[in-house]
Amino acid sequence: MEGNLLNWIIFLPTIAAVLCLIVPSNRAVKVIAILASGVTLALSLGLFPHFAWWGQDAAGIFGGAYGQKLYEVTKFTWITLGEGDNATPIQYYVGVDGLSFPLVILTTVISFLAALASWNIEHWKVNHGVRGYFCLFLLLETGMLGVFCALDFFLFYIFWEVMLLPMYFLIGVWGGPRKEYAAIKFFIYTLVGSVLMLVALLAFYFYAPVGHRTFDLLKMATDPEIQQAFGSATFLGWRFAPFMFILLYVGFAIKIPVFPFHTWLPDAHVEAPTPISMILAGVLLKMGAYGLLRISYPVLPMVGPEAAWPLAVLGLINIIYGALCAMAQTDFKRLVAYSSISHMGYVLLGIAIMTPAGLQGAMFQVIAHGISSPMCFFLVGVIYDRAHHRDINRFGGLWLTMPVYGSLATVGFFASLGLPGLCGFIGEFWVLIATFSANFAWAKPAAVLAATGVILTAGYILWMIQRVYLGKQREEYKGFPEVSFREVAILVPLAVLALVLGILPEQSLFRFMNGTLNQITDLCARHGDMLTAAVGTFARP
Amino acid sequence: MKLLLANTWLPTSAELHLFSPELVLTGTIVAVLLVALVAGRRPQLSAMIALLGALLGVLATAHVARVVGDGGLGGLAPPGEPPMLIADRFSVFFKLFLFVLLAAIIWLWLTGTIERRMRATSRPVGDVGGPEFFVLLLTSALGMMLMVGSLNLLVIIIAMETASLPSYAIVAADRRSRLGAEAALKYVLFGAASAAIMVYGVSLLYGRFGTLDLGAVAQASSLWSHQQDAGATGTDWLFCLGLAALGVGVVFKIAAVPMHYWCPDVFEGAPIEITTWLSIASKAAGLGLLLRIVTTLGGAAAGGTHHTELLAWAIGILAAVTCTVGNLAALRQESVKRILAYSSIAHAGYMMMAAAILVAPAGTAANVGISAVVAYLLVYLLMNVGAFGAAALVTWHAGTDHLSAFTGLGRRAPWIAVPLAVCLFSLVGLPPLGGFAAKWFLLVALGTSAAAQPWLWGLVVIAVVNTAISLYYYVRIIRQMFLTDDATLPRLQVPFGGLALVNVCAVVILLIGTLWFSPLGERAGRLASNLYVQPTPPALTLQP
Amino acid sequence: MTGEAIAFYLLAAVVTAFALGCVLASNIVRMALCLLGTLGGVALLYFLMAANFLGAIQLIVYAGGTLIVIVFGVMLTSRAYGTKLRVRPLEMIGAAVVTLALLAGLTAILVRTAGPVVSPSTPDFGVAQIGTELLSTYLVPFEVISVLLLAVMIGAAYLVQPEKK
Repeated sequence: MEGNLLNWIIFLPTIAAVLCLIVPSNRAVKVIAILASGVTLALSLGLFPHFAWWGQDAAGIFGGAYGQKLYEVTKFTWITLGEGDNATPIQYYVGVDGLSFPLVILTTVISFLAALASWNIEHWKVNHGVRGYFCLFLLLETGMLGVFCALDFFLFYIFWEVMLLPMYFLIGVWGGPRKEYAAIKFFIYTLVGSVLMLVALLAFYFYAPVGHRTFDLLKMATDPEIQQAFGSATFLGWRFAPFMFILLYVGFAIKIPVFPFHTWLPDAHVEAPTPISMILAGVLLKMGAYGLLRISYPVLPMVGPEAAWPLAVLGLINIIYGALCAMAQTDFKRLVAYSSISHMGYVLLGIAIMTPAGLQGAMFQVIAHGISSPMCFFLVGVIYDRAHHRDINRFGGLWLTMPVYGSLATVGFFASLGLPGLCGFIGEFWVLIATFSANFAWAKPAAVLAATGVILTAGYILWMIQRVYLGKQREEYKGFPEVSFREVAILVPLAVLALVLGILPEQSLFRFMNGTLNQITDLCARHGDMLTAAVGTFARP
Repeated sequence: MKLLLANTWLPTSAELHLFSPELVLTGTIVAVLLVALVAGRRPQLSAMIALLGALLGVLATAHVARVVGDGGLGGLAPPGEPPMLIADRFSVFFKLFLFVLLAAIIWLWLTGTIERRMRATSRPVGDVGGPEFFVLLLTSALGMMLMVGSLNLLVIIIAMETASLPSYAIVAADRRSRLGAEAALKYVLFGAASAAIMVYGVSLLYGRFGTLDLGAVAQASSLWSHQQDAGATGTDWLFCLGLAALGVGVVFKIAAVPMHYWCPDVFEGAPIEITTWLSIASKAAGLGLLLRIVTTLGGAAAGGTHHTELLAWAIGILAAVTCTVGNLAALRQESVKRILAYSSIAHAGYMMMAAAILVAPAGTAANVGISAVVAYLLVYLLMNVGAFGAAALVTWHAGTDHLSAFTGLGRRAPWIAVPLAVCLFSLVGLPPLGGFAAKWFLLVALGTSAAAQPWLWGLVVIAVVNTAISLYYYVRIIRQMFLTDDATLPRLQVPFGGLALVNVCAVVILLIGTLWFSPLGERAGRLASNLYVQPTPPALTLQP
Repeated sequence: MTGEAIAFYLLAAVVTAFALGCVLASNIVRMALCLLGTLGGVALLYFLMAANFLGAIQLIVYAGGTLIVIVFGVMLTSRAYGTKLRVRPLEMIGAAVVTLALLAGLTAILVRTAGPVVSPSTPDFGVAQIGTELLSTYLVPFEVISVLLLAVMIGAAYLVQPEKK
């Protein structure tokens, strides 16, 4: 098993999925699925020693430059393209660095909790069989982990697509009343994005000078000749680099999702069953941000400065538009869905300004949102299981009925709100500060506008808490049972994580990823005069 | 009289060896007829003989593949004359392809008869069969094999007619079906018109170049191009017109725009075995012929001339329009046969894109387009046999191929629904399925050649956008199978043979997308590597 | 202009007139007559160009056999025998535009093309020569056509066979 840890993490769920097809009883299927995701989680914790912060400096853990130090690497040729001297391997190439490591952990954690949350599948309104559900669920986990671990663009693309099919069926078969519409919408949006990525995948390969052609994402980013070629080429009459950046951006923006590609998200989140909503919000949205940081910026750093203000504007639109939409919702789940759009706006803003603090804030926000939003979705799921509706205005005084649930809900929603001491705060704060101090003319107004988003967020979340949890206890909800042990077991780890990340951001997260993030900013800074001055402004107070 | 006989010529047995697949097929045709004469009309017996013939054909083709070796061979013409038929790995591939497909179609037919006997109802699902049916099927296969194995325009015309005329008849094989008769009529009218145009084009080419041999035409045209003054327009319009008219016939076979109108109606009206046959074989043969013409013309004009560029543009535009039209038209269909018909038009468009690669840039494998199409066709065969086969099983049961017949299939017949879903997702081109491997090699071929023809990137973009469009209509079938259900509908009883066929297709598709991804590319590359080229071009005398 | 050329153009004009008549006539019998004129005229053109075998084939197969089969087929099957075919003006105009465009295009191309690039091999079209060619150079197409004819015959018989009850 030594040296194959990452492969086990990625493919253990697949093996379990096959097992699920064989075992006789539904109960065994559920046990296998939960065991498999649990073991995957345990295995992924085995990655921690590589990033252990005691006794080593950042350079020792993360290497001197981007792509120099990776852990748990598996690399072998899968497909050979071309013949003779031109032969290029398409590799099975996986590994983790500071960028992917937190996301792998996040994925295994959320998958395990979502598997736990699926335990009561027999009691769902739409129940089309346990076997298919858990089989697809586990395949989905493999797809997600693969995306975060793949270092070969082709492999990345394969995993990206592999994730699509299970998701379509999980929403489409086990979803709510408008499941078919939501599922096909999700499917088509994502596929449009990914086929554009396919064009970029091919173009990256063929535009590299002969002899340097590769699908290796790290080599693409660090090979000066490839970078030279990308910087000067034209594609169908347009400049190559911006064109490719836009193609990739559309693919990733659909996933994040960024206005105006966001419309699939509320539908998909609302119709999906609770555990799938948790995965959608907790992991799938993160892939867009991860793609930008893993592919768009390192491979096409020359576009960074040009792309800064459009992306920042789109990020701002996301923050404010998402928050305003959330405020207007009466459907509880829709509100949480729109709050996701708003929160992911900070991520885009942080990435767009391309400073170390911006990237750190963005990535922190990615992880923080990956913890708080599944928690919020599960909280919504808990009352939906009892009340069978999600109309905010028809609730009230739930705290009195279910005190434990009420307290946990407060933690979850406050984490989402960005209360200091909880995880949501650090990410948003870092992004705001980084934006404020970035070296762009529009940076300060942008920071101010983004800050209004914080206020709007506080507005809709507090208003929602007031309507749902506070106030007079309603007759019809008096009989609700308190949260079960299983539900607490799902909520408490998330609450603890939210708390730990909020109180000890450096020790719990920044230490594990800042090294790689700084390398990415360094990489980009070499290409943009404008950015050079801005690099490290926040790091050197 | 003696003198005249001395001038006749008969092929040697060594030459005939090379064309044993065709001979086996012809022998099978005769055998089917003779056995029917002796043993009476026994459809299943005829089917068995035809199946045996197809399997023998596979053996014969394998034998030829060994003989052909590294260089393509020409033959069946008197010494000194350009060959009438040629044998190289490319044509061997098509023969193998058609034999395997024939076997699958006959297997499907046998499954269908079992199904009908099992239920013993007189539902009008088409009582097709009898020795005539198989004679016609085999003859059209013979025509398709010859289409890809010749560079002589006369043989090409005759081969196309041999492929077409029997097809017209078998489309109407179910004589009780009005839809079938109407389909056959449409097919005949379109086919006759396009054949006439094609013959006209060939006569123009003959008038211009004085030869029926395509290799000689290529030589003459490129010679002519190089002789043009720099100031002259440089376009030989008569040549272009002749080529375009010839192309009409080829495009009709492929069912590409603008000769695609027959396709949905014929596919809908024909018995589903024949729909499967036409959707794969007719397109494959047409594409093989197109590639043969294109590589011959492009190969003679090394480095690319004005004419090859024009030709590449024309094919590229046709391909782009074809796949877009096919995909858009499929969005609104309610009949699964029609959806798959339009999908086959779209896939013909994707494959035609590879034919637009006329000029391979220096330092790359010569026939990247051909290897891409070969890989695509292999996967396309599996996907379409699987999809049509599954649709056939449902259609025989429900008596209709409307989408509603597929409701709740995921519960009612998971062993049909799952392989059908695999085939459909593969048709979209989603990894990790074979359809993605096929599309990948196609796009890589386009990308490789884009170094010489940058506009090929436009085709890449159009192809991937079309992929996204196509998702919608394929998923409509999948949605009907898995996302909707009607508890009153009973489980489906289906013959085991049909299940075996579609499930084998699905499993192989899955394997190609994962473990056999690389082998697929390598095999396809090898198949395209030894195209027949004329050893010594015939001496040309240029007239002013 | 030689006498041969004058004869060619005269004959070509007659053939064209018959062809036009065939398309424009609304009575089915007149159409058939015009078709006969066209096909026969083409045969005469062949004779004029010393392609005797081709001319004879044209007369026997087209003007003789095919035409008679067509006429009989039409008369036996068409219930609309004797009625006039109506063509809507719009269709007429469309057809005319397409035809004229095609004519103009072809003429332009033929005028701009100097002549054959490569002269055809010796134009000796004797019957004996043709027979030899069919059994040597063109043996393959000859054999394929024989298979094709067999299949077509079977197909035709199959289609007209009465249905089983």
